[in-house]
Amino acid sequence: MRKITFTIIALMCCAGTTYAGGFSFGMTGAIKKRVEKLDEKVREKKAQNNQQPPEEEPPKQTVLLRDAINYTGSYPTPGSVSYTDKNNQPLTVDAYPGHVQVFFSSTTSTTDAETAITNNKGKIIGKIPATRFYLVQVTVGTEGAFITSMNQDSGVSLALPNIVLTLDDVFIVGDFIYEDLPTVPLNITGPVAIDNSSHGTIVVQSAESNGAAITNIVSLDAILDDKKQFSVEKIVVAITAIADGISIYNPGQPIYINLSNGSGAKNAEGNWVDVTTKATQEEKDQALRNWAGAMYAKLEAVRRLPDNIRSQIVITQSAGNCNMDVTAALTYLRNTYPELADVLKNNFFITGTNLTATNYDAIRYPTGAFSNYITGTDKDFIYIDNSEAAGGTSYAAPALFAYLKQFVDLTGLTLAQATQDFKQIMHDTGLSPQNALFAAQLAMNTNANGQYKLSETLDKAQAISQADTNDPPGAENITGISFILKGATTSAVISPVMQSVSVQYTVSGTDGYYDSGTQQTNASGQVSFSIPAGASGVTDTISVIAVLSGKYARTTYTW
Amino acid sequence: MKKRTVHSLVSLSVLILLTLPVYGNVVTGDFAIGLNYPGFGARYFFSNTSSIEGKGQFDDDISLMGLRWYYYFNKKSNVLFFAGIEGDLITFKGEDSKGSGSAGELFIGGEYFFDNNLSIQLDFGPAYISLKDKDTSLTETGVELVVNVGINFYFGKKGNALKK
Repeated sequence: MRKITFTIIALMCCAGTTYAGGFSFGMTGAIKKRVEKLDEKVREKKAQNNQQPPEEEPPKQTVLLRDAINYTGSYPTPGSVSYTDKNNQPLTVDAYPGHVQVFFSSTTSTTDAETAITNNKGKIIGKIPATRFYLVQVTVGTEGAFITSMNQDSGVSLALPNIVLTLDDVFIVGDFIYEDLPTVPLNITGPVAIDNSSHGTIVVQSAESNGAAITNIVSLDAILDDKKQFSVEKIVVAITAIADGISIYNPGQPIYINLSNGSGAKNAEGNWVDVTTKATQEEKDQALRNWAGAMYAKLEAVRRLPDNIRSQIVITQSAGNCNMDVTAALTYLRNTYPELADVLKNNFFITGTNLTATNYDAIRYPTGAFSNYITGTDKDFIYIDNSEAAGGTSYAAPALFAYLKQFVDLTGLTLAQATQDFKQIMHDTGLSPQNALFAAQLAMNTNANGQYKLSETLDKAQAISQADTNDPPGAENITGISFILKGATTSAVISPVMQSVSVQYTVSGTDGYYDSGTQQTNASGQVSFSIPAGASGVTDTISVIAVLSGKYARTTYTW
Repeated sequence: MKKRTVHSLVSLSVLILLTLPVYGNVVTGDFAIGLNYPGFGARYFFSNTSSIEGKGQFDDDISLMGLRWYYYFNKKSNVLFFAGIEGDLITFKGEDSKGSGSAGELFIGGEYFFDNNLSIQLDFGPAYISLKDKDTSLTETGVELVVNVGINFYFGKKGNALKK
């Protein structure tokens, strides 16, 4: 027996551990093995719990769409609706009979607003109480009386018919992913078009062709009728839903909205009529009122947004069809509703094309149908003839958006400031959006600190504009420019050598000195200019640019 | 490393003690306290062949309290052989688990007397262990083979040690 015991003990000594032949040494040793297995189970369970998706955060509270109702009922067939505006001017517009939009002032309570509507025998079918916007149904034929009555209410900013807008398809290019018009805040990151699938596809392509992407479409497909028509009230709802989404999901994010819908003059057959040549005076007037009325609703939709959200939004808006005089419409809006002027200046960019070809369907789309060539004088309108917008005014808007977006990205300006500056550069110099962007890039290239300055950009823009008129053919193909001398007398030469090419020099000093001038190259392809001496230690950044080609050289000189 | 050293020292002590030629004898009324690995116990013989032992063991974050019942096959020899059963209540804390449990063991072994009042014992057998984690309610059960060793000191021993 002693031998057996001795052997067991010896085995344990040899193992030197708690185990010998699979045995655990002591009950606690056995328990420890089981604890380790239980540890594994607990770890696995905790890991599984960690992998499970966290409980969804409750949706953040909407601000702008609280208690809002998006009208989803059927729309009547569009027709002419007559009414008298706040200035007692009788108007007739293309609108949805029996529908009226009412914008109350922000000081009117929602209770008072809704009471006023019902007291006038109106039925609220859509509303955004936070912005005091209401869509009201009235008996067909009583729109004028309802509007007159509402406009006499001191709490009403304006009542007007629910005007018809149109998205005319030029091409059909397959499907585009879209959603039904929302009634909830839209979590949109990136530029957005409020459009339909086929037309919107070309809008997206036009933006992309000009250098920036529209990444979202708020689709109007579900509400378009067979003539691609829809109500302007849907634009109001969509703008508000986008703005609400920004404040909830992406506060601080700039948002670009493209609106390529239009309204204009249509004849009895529903075809566009060129107001400059073929429309009757009545058709012209109606086109103007349609456009102004629709624009009023869009401007009000933006004006009623909270300041911090409104400052983040810019809308590129196509001018519409038919060579309609948008300048007259905008002048009318500013004069009648002066509170909208700042919204036009800071938040809207209106654009059209000079398309004159008889494209696509010569009956529905006669010559000039997509043009707004005559409207180029308004300070908030930009005419664009970029070839990428050749499809018409609808595609000028996303093209303009693309250049504005690049301008904002380049300069770092706020949306409102960039919108104002970009308009001024083009209006003061007549440059296209593409060349205005080019001027800003040149100005920043020649600025001593690489910073954007409006005055320097205007300087470059003027040089580009003049060179475009004066330079010989081929000036845009200059491949290089270099300094020959620098200092009080500075000279440069272009390659290949060419005479009469505009070269602009810029001197930007660390003491704040700025000067520039433009010269034409001589027969040797050279320009020479003088720079006044700076104080000792001042460093000038000297730049020379072959204006049309954009080729430039830059150097520094310390006095 | 420290634990390995303790185990080795215990085993070495047992080997030395085994070289001492002494006979043992237990009878009703014998009472002993003992050190086992890794704890202590107290044993009482309520007949010439049976005893009951209370025990406690503590190791890291594991502790248990239990009872053992021994049946001795012989009662007068240098090595007394026995078999028995054990029941324990357990508390534990592992790396990720924490809770309580129970264990039961059937064992067989022997007790070697190298002095009238001093013996060492060795037993082994299968133990059924059941544990439950407090937070997750997960359980772990299973059978482990267990080897136990210990040293017993008898008080007021009525049986005499027999010299060879």
